[in-house]
Amino acid sequence: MSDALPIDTLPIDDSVPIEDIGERHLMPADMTISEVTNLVAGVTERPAPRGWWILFIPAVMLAGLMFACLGYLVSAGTGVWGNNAPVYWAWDITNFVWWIGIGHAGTLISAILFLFRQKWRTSINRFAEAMTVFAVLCAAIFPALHTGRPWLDYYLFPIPNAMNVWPNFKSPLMWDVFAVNTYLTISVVFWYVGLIPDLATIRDRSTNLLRKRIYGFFALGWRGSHRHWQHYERAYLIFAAISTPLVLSVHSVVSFDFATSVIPGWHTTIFPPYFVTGAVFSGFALVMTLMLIVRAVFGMHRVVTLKHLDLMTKFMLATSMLVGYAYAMEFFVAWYSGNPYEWWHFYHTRIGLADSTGQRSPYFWAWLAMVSCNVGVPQIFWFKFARRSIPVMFVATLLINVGMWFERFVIIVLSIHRDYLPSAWGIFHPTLVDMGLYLGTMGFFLTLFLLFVRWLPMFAIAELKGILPGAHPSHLHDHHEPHEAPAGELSPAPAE
Amino acid sequence: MSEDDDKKLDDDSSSSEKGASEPVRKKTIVGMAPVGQTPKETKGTLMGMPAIDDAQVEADKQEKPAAEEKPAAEEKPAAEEKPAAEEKPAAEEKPAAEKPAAAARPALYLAEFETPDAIVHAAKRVRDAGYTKWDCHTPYALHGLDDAMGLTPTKIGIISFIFGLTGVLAAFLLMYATNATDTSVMGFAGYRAIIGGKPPGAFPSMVPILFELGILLCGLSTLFGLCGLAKLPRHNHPVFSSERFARATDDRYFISIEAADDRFDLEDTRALLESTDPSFLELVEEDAA
Repeated sequence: MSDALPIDTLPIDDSVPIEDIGERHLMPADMTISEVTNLVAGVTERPAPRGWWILFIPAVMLAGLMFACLGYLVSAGTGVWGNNAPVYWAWDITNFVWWIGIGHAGTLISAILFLFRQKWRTSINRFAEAMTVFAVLCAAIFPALHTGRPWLDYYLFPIPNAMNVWPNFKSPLMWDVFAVNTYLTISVVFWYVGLIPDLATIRDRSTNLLRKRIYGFFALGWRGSHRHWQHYERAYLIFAAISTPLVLSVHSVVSFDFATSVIPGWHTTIFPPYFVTGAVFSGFALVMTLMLIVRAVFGMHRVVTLKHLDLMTKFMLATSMLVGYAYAMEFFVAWYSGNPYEWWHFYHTRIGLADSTGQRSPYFWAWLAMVSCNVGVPQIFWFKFARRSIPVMFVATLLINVGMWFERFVIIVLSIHRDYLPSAWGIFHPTLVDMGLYLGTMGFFLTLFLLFVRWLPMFAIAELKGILPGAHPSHLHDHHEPHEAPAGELSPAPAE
Repeated sequence: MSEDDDKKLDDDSSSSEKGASEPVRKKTIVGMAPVGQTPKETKGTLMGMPAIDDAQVEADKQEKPAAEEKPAAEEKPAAEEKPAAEEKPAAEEKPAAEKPAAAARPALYLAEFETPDAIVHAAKRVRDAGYTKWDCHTPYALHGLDDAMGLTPTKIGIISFIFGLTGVLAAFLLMYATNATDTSVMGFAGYRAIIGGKPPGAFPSMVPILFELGILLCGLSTLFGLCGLAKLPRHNHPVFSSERFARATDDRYFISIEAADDRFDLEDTRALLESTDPSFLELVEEDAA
């Protein structure tokens, strides 16, 4: 058409699947641009389906439980938790690490998979980013309360004051404050920037003035201008590029809280990568759990195809193997270090072998739960039937999240309930407030999440459109045309 | 008052000359054209299909002739068309409407295309014709349009980089002033804190916060840089006056050429756009309000 123009010398459009190596279009071949708009934006326009209410009402009740526990905790003091000598870090920190970890999958999907040009991320990234924001909010509750006097938490920030009291910047807990706050801010910004074009889509579809105004306000007057898209795409790339090291740094910093101490079981150099892979693993599992629910409730089978789920299960399998490697390496290093305390900790408290006095650790079952859920369960994804079966995926992802909670419990509580001196040993018993607060944050998270899927575009509309077959000018991928298979062959396996 | 209205209805170009000195924009309606402002657009529609088939549009079309017959009464129906929430802005608009030359001036030509190929082709034509104040509107970032529009690469990365470094520097100064020196700065002094056997101002323990604050400032500056470069938020824009433009965020591709462009000409520009074979072409006018 326009051979002489410089545009024809542009690099290959990487949105086109490479047929030669068996890659296929991710979306159904007959999907049109307006179908994407209708499917995704339509959710915010119709009354919520019954399944949504079935989830929403219990979620709000649980969120209420959280606020009740918070109120009680703040008025009565942290003594209502089961934390006591020597287990001063217990469920609160376990939950904090668990929630932060869950958030990491969102950033991984939106940033790291973006940098690697994994186009399949477009069906899950919005979802996962929202999850990140809500999970980090839930996570932030725990350390804020764990300070004991949450109304003095502003001491954590370097605010000039008459007493010249400053934070100690050499403390990993201080690093945590900066890492978590930066992470929350950047996650919100990244999520919002991605939402702008989609909010404009909803605005332009609205017939109701209130909706037009609210969505229009947040869409900033986006008009799909290519002069804007040009800056926008680069800004998005920058966000992906800074979020990638950020997400790696946040869980590394969280792991420094432990690794810079001298407690056997904590003082180990493998912690940063170990924590990051575990975080990504658990986050992927939760993305998948929620994805399966929302997909069924809102009928999104054409946007999230079995192909996407298949890729996600493979990702979980890979991260599960990494986590399994970290578990094994912890043992190896404990033995190889020749440190008797470290080795005693692993064979006694973790795997529950009797020590010289014939005593067994009261918590060895926690380690078993962690290994079987995190390393054992995902192995089923080696089999194709499991990667195609929704019930198998659902149960497996739930078990993985249980396992990942136990991993944090094992690391935190098991390590500190048996340190150097037997006279300082103790045991931890959770209280009702511990349990209520944990369940409550789940309700709070689910409430926010359900409000998100109900009122905001749960898939990145503009990005999904960009990966549809024929979404980009044909001369950008002329050389692919001879290879292009007929439409029927391009469509993925039929939905279950 | 009635004279002005007559002129406005009579002749676009004469009123546009007159109105050039004081353009009156529509009061901001969040990001969209208010319902019931179709009459002028239907008039401005040069070719192609009728405006979106919508009950409201039909109603407005029926309502309008009556208003034209009685120009003096025109404002009242206009105010009534707006929902109750609009009452106040509508009342404020009255003085503006009484100014002379508030008539419809051409704001931009809007051409609609149905395929990515068509808009890329048309964009090259518009670029080669030498226009500068024009734009493509697409539902997603369309590959290849940068070149087709002749855009220079975006500078947003420079903003992010500079602010990222600023964040790192600010973090260093903060930690140094509070934890490494007891020199008083504006009445606030730090401590030469020795903790964990590490000397005051030990660099390795600063690294995490240097990194985090660098990222924080880089991210925020990217957001505000994006808003600044794209001149957003801007909730009112002449393109939103077009009923069809709602599909720019759905499944259609648009080219707009602004009347503010030096080369803009009612006839020539229209001829150029027509030659690119758009599926729809319209002249969008400034809202007289």
